[in-house]
Amino acid sequence: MTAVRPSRRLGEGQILVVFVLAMVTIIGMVGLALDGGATYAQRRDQQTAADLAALAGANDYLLSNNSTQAIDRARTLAAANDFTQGASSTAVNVTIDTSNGVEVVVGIDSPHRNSFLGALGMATWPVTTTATALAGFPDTAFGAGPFIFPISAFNDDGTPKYQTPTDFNETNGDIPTSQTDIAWTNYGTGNLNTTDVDAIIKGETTINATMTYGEYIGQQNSGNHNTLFQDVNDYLSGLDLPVAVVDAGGNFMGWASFHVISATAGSDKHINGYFLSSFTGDRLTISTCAAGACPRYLGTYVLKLIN
Amino acid sequence: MRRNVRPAPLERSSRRHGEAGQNLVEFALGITVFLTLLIGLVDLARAAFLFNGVSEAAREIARVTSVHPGSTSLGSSTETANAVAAERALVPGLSVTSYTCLDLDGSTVTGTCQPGDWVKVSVQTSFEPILPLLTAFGPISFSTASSAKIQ
Repeated sequence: MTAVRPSRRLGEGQILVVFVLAMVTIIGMVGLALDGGATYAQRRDQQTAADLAALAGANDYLLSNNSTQAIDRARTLAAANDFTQGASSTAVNVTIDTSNGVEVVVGIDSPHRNSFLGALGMATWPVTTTATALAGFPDTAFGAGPFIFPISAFNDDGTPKYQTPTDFNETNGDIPTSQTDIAWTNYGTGNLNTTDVDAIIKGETTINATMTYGEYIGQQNSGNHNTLFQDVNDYLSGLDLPVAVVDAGGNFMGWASFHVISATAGSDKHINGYFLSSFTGDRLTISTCAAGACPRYLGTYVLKLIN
Repeated sequence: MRRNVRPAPLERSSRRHGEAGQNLVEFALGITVFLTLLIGLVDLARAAFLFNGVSEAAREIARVTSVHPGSTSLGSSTETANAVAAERALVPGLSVTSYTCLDLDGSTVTGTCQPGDWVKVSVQTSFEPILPLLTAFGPISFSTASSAKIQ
């Protein structure tokens, strides 16, 4: 009897060691899969919350021009998505930079509480996400069309009056004279250079213009512009273009997005198209126009994530 | 106690050796099954972690590319390159197989990828099981894709 005991003890000892090693491995690996997966899931939710909070903050600033209120709005949105500032070690940092449009940066720090890996000394994993949203009214356009539209084509609340196909005529004025009137421009001064206008229409010249609010941009329009109308029809039909908008005195008020359907030359010269209420592609950008200082009644604004 | 073991009679000694051998065989069989299950579990957890990692990497790279599409081609921005490097540290062997520009309806855009279009990022990595039974199946490829709207 006594002779058997040493070998049994040896076996028991081995099993214990193997069992402990196995438990550590099992907890570690199950923890890696489950806690790792849950951390990735949290990171995804947290990124979405940061994105939405940044957009909400930027949109609020665009409307209210009030940074305290915009920061509150961003935090409210983050809280609605389960990341509440101050709750369970969560920090929602919101900063607003208004030097170039309005940029709202939302950073969320919220540790993931590990369920399995806590047993191995890793109680939490840090999860940090950031999002930056940009909002504002554009003052720079890339690939702008060679027409000026009047601000009377827009309602007081900023929405365009013409969002369905409409004929816009030309009365040969330096600036648009009625709400469905256009004036040609080659983005220069003095007399209109129709050759330059034609080059813009054909895509040989690309306009990349930054305008100052209130700058006079009317040019002397006269003569028969049959070729221009014909070329608009041939080259620009179906395209969305940034177009300049001026007040009754021909002063620059902002950019709008215009969709060209067709153009007709001859005795009844007109361009048929409509305004888009939203920002067109990446061709309108904010460079110096701060929110609150820019005109806010043109219907075209930028609100997007930039980081 | 040990002194008692040595002078034991021959017949008892042989019986004792037999029991020890039986224990060893039982232990060997037991440990083989046990280790196979254990390493199998380790492989399963590694595979799950890697698969989660690949999915997350696709999403993360798509998110970064959606705000930094790159000036020359999709995915050419330094921000995207940094995101790929960061994900590679978490997911060994990760590589981006393609950046595709898609329309709202899912068809491929041939020209420039404009804001409002979607960038689809496809990534892949290969998983090498450590369990000898599974190594015969060679590296298993994990690939996923994620789309994000260009801002």
